Amino acid sequence: MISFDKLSVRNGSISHIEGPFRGILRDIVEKEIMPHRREYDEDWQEHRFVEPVLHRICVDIGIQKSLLPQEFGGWSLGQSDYMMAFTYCIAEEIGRGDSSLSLSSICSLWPLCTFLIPPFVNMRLARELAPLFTGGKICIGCQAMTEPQGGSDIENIDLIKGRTIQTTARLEGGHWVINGHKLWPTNSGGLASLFGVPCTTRPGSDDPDDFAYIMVPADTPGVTQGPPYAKAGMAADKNGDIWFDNVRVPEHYRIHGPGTDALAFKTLIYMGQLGSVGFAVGSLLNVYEILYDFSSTYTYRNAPLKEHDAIAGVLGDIAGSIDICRMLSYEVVRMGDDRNKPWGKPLHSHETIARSRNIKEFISDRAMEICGKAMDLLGPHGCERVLDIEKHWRDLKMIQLWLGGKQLCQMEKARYYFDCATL
Amino acid sequence: MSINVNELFPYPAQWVDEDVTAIATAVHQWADKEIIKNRLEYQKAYHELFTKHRREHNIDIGFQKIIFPESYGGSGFNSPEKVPSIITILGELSRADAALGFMSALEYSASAVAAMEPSVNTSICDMIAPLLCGNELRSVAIIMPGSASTGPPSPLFLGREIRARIKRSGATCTLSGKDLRPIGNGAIADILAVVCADENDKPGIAYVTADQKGVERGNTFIQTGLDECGNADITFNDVAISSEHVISDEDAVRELYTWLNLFLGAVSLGACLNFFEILRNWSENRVIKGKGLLRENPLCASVLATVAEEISLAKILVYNISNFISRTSVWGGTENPIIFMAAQMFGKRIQQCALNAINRGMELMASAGYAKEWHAEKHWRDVKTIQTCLSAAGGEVPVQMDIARYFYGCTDI
Repeated sequence: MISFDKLSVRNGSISHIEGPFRGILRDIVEKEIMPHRREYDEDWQEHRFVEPVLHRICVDIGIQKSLLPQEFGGWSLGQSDYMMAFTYCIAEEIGRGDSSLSLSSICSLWPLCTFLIPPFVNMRLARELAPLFTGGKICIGCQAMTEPQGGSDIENIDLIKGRTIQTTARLEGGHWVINGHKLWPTNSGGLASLFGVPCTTRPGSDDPDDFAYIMVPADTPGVTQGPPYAKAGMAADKNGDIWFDNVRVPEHYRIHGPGTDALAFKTLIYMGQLGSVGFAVGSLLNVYEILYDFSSTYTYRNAPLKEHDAIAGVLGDIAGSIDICRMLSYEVVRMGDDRNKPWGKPLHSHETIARSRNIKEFISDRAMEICGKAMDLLGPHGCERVLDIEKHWRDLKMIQLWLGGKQLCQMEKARYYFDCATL
Repeated sequence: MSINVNELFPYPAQWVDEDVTAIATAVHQWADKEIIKNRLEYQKAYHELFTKHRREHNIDIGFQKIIFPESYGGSGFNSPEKVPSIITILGELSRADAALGFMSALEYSASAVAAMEPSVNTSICDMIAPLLCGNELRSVAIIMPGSASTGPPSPLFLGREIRARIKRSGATCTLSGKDLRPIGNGAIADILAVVCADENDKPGIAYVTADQKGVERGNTFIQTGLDECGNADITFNDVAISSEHVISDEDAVRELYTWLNLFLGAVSLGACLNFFEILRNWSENRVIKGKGLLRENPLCASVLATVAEEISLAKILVYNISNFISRTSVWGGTENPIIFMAAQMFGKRIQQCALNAINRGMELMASAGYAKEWHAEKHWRDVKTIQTCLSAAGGEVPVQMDIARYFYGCTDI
């Protein structure tokens, strides 16, 4: 078997620390995650198996402090020109073992991206919140975006412009008073210690100045987290309801201010696509490994499956598609890491968002096809938990559906490539 | 929503008995009342309620014995013209829960080979009818060729490896085979229908009860869906069975494939119909972009249309396979090669349609698509499980080879 490391990667996209870091993560994945990942499905409420591994990744390895500036105890990743390659490497390596664990680890940093990646930096907030992430205890972040009535409207920021947001923020005596109901975010369901909360300061307004992004520690009075939902997959990621009932946080917990909050929030859309392609390709690399073993060992017409011309045709398509998906993922990485180069585009630019959505949609669609075909090739073994492909299949479907799903990607692409004016 | 999905999706209703239409309507109403309108309670106490409901339709209503002649205490649905009626019932059961339909489908497939006119096998009916026409809930597992294996070379059935072997000795046989993977129910089945090869590598089907000495079940394993249809590999350690309980006929194996494609197609169709109801409800209540209903958005409507198209096609194909079987005056019996080929070809397509319908529809439901609360994801997992269980190792390739053999006369593939 050729190592999946040999699958196509643009050399220029690999950062100097990626190789050694991949080695560290791979060791954890193979020794601590893969042997236990089948237990995660039954552990979706308790997280007895999940939380120790999450601690290992976020605290022991130190991912949770990676974005923070060095002067506050972090790695200054947010200021680097290899942040996206590094983030992608984490998403892919851990995703190979369990995409939900990868999701939970990386999304923990998602709200921090709004104020730790230039040009949107808030050093006061970084200094104040840094101890949560550098003190040796796990601190899980949660980007509390979706609302019951709006679904993916909030991610459709260019069109809806925050008009449908019903979570309100009112400035009162040097504090923001937040009221509203969010649901489904990654790392909710009781796990999160810190929320990033998109709010409106004027309900019904589509003025970007009225969009506010406010950090809310989970132990602030008035914050209530509901229990995790039961889902098809992604068991290491808890999702639930969060209610904000007259929650008061200091005024400077709003990340930037009128207008800039909305732009900084748009960087999260790109980051979401980057993580998604990493989780998906990580899963696909493992699907390739499993399929390689199975097709070399199990037989059809008394010969290994892979030695049958027609089956080999399917296997060839699968491996080729995975390779192409990986190439495309590194294009998303390049887009992000070139953001400060003369030819680069800001993360919040329409071009970066549309093109990264395009690749995310393409990869998630291919991933579902690939994983579905892989299950079929295994025959009655395809749906068996012990072979793990079906787990990837359930997880990949969720990657395909989140962040507004296929239709939002289609609209974003149409607007960008065809200048649609009314959609 | 006050729609009747059976009327909404066209099908040749004249092929279904009026009596059965009335039964199907009753099952439809039962499914609504007992399961569909109480999904959350059903999920919470799944094992207990599944067994309770399975008993209600299998024993109280009598669907478990439906396929056996009346002389065996059955309902007499063992003539080919009753086949459209059987799939109508299976579809209604599966609309409530595909696992209910799946268990019945396996039972009907194994039973039909033995009990369906014109070639009723009285020896096998004598053996399995008392179990299936009694007052106890029973389950059937089926072991087909080509379920993927790692053993030594085996005889082939149309390219698929037959890992179970039968050795004859006068009026008795011994059945052997190690770690054989059933289509489903391996951990719970009372009756096992096993495709096997004899000393001359000739394929056949052996019927054996699971309590026979030498039948050994492996550990129950978790599958993607069909949670109540516990599966496990089965080993036969020289299990002694009567020679009369073996159908030594390659056509019988073809026939078994035909029944499985038909009945499991009906199961996936039933699951799809309920998914359609869930999706339709979603589309007429969900507001997007802060203004219109989801179904009124042209992009979403185009996806909704695809879902409906796929389900319509699946339904037409299911009823067409049944028509091939039931219209013996036109097509002859199930030994006609066109029937096997059509069942394989249409059966594959039905599963693809069903899965594609649910996959595409889930796109519009976002997180509600994968939340267990909405139940869409259960249909999705169940249908995928049926599709993979029905496949041999190699996925669609073995079926493609069947189709190529029929249409192009290939002999070496």
